[in-house]
Amino acid sequence: MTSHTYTRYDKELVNLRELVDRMGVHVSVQMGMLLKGIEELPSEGKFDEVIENDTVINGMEVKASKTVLKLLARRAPVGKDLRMIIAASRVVTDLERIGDESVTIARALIEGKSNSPCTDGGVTVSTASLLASGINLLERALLALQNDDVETAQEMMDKHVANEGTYYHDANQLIDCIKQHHESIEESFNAALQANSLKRICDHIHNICEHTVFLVEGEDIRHPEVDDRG
Amino acid sequence: MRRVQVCPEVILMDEPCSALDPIATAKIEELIDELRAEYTIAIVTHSMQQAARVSQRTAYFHLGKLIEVGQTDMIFTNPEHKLTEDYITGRFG
Repeated sequence: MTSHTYTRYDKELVNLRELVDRMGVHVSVQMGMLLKGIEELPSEGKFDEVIENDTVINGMEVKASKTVLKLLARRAPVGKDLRMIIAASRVVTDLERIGDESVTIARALIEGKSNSPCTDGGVTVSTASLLASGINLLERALLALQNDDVETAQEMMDKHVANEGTYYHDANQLIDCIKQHHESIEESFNAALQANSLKRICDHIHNICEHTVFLVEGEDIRHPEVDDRG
Repeated sequence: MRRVQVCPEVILMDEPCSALDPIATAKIEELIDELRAEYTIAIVTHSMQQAARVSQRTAYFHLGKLIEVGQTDMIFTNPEHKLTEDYITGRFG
């Protein structure tokens, strides 16, 4: 795309996009740390690190929100610039929530680390694979956002829908297990928290893909059941 | 406006707020909003913000040619033509 007549406006937009990219990398690293922690169980150090690093992500969200506000107030953006700023604002909110869910998983892993009939070291069978799949989804979703790549964004949304079966399968297994083993309710509860947070993480990644479609095509594909787009 | 037609159907306003301060501009824009209940109003303006604020449909002309016309919301959020996009976003070199 050609440059603005106001070159400072270009720089401000580039800065916002770079901030979103950096935030995405941080969130992805957080999820990677969780996965490493699970693979190296018991590894509370990694989980503590995830909890501590969340403040960095929160700080980035605040910075991005300030930048968005400033751009809206000072530049009165329109067209693709406006869509980029709105998309960035939505993406950083989703990234911040992914950070929060990672903290929930880290806390649940610290709390429920013991073995039980329903969990292995506080982890359900699919946690590690769902997390690995989540990291892959996030990285590809962020790349699609960077490259205005609607096709990959759509592919990631389809993958997320396909993954949902695993979350529900996990949740149902846990419920069945809790019914049979009341004594392991604490570990199972922590495992359920993890499963729920993993599902939420992938919901947020799905949202990021929807924001990419909005950015590129100007079409809001969230909540297709809502017929109020005129 | 130099001449007022009695009971016109369409009122053409050529840069109606040119060189006006923000308060006077707001008053003119309020008047436009009142008048549009009874008249069709066509405004020529170089102010993107004014076009976005006061109009329901926007047309973009370039070198005397009509490039694009459509609902104001769409023109300012997702125009079809690159020339329109470049102009409204300030990318015209």
